[in-house]
Amino acid sequence: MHQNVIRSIAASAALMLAPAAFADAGLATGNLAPQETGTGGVATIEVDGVVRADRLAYKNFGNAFRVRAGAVVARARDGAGRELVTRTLTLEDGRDYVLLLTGNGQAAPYRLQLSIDHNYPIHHDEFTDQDIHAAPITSSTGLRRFNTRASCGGGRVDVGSFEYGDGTLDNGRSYVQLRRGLAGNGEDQQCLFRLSDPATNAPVAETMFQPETGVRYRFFAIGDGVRQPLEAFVWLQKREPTVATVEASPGVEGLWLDPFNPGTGVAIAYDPDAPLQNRVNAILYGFDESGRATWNLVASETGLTRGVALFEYAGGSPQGTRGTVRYRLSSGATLEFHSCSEATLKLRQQSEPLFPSGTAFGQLEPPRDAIRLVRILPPGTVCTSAS
Amino acid sequence: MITKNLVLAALLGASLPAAAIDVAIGNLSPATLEREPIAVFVDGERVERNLMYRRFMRVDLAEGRHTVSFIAPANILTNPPLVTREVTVTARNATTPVVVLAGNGATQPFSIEYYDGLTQPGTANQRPTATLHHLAPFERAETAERGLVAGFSCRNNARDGNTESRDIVYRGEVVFDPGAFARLVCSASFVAAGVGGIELGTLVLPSNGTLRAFLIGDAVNAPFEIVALTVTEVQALSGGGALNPSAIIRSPTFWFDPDRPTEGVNLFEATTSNETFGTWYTFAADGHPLWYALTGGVGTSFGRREFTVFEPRRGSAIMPLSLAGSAVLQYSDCNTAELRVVIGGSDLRTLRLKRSRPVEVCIALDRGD
Repeated sequence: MHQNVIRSIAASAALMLAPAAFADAGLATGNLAPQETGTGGVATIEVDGVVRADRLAYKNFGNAFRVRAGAVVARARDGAGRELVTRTLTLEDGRDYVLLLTGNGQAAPYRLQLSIDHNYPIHHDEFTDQDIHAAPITSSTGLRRFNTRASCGGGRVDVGSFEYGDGTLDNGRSYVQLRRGLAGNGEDQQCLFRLSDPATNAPVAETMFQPETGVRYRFFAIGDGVRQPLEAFVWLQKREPTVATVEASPGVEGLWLDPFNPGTGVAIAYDPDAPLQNRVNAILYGFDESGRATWNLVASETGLTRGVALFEYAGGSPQGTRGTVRYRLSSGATLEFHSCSEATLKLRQQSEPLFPSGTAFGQLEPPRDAIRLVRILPPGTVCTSAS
Repeated sequence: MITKNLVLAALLGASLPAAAIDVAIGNLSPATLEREPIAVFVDGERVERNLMYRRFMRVDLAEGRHTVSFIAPANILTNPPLVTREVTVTARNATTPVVVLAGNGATQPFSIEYYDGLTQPGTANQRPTATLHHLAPFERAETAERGLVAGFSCRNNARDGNTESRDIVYRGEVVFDPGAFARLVCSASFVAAGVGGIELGTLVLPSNGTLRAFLIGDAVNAPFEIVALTVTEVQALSGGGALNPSAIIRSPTFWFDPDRPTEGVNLFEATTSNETFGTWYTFAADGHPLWYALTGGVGTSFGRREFTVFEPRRGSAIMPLSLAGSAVLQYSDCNTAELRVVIGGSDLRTLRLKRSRPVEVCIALDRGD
């Protein structure tokens, strides 16, 4: 979309620094609240006074829609029209969310909770899932925790610890799993999503499903064990276009930006005379978590299996002499090109602080910690070398 | 007869100097990057004025006990040594003794490590061996929970050779047997499970000595790297990043001043208009890395560009950029130019720029202005 906007090179500064041209956010709704049986279990969800999901049954989801970004008032009513909960939520420009009615009014109050969509690219043989714990089951120590386990065919097994509210913005960070949906022989492999007891690791609920590639899934723990049974529930949220990976070429050289984070991006240098694994190096420009402009060096490293490394500098002088410049390795990362106009920068270590303090992307957090880049200079999308 | 010979040898030894042994001394302490010069003293005598980080030197020392000290910075003679250690120099298993300064004085204390071939196999004088050392002084590096695995793999054209990997902790070493095969080419690696690692390839084994590969760096003072040492010479370095962007970034759009290698300018000339856009990566007065956006176009003379300089800020403002100053760029030719920037009306900075990857023709001088 940005290629059409580029008319002149002078526009680049504005393009680099101006807020992205979004004014709305995407919202889908879901009813995961086990209500008392007399209400029919359905819920009506309003946003800014407009009914967006009418009499949504338990375990059902409404169609996605767009609303203005900023503060919105969301309200949920039961089947008899009684208000269950009202909450003011802040939606950011250009983001997509799922708005969930959770709780049972007993072990956990009814709540409207937001879960933000991840921004990871999905390859043609992959699907993704984001896990959400919305099962208000009491235990002797409060709301019950689970261990999760997800595996597909003979592939990777992901195991995690799961607290009530995990996966929603109320519980801070959430994590995204990227899985390959096809086995090596090309046959589809069934996937298992299992909840187990943290003390005994005994399975308490599980579901098998046939995954599709190019799909975003949401994995839920739902039910309160009284009105609704505990379930490991899988929702196919949406299908979306997949991305490819291309080798870096001279055409990747230039100025790239993250349209969702104005003023942040990379300036890429491609050196055809360097060894193959060292040809792409770059400067990250952006802002640290305090909002101050800063930059980092992105260097490909000989023999490093993790792709590129982010270096943080400090102590330089305005005169630019070497002086007491210090630098440190902030993080490993991958820089993946999908074409000569689209790329993704992503850190590898999900268990560590993803964008460490002091880096030009210090403000990003999962599940939107992938930096989706578009090239703005030189203009155009073809793989021609910068001049 | 044997006793007689021993007595004779002892007598000769008492009257002649002990045999000199070639010893390698290295500085693998990343904390010394900012403490140069690093002086090396042996038995109270300075043998090196400045042994920089990742460098090795060789000295001939008599067999027997010696006291080794590292002093930093050595231009302040009253400074106490970073660390001192007594080592017993001897020749074992055809291995060159190696003395190394390690640690960073923060997450791991400074230390002097000494390797004299004691851990090498007794056959080392007939065939090469390889030893991997973990001297990367990051926090809790000495604990096995960090899960660092040292690996060594050798192959020749006939696909002969050994591959091994074993756990390693800080100050630990792992001795590998590459195999008694001809023309082996090897690689050394250090891998943290689930995180990634560093590998250094195309290592040539000495014919009958020890190749040592050291994992160094602490990710604070210096990046993680592998240094490979053959006898007393550094054979290879994994190149975990250079200090200056100008040493790494090569592109027709990136320009650097050789006298100011830690900052750079990214320039784009429009092909269909007279406009030019740039970003200047530099530092603020407090040392913070800072970048400016430069927008402008052709000036009043050939090869001249005039810019407005903006400082970006992320905040609540609708347009997060503020006017910071002005700049003039004067091309001398396609690959050299001078940039004069005035920030805040008085802070003049001049950069004598060179294009990091030269071109033969360029839009800048093609335009005719």
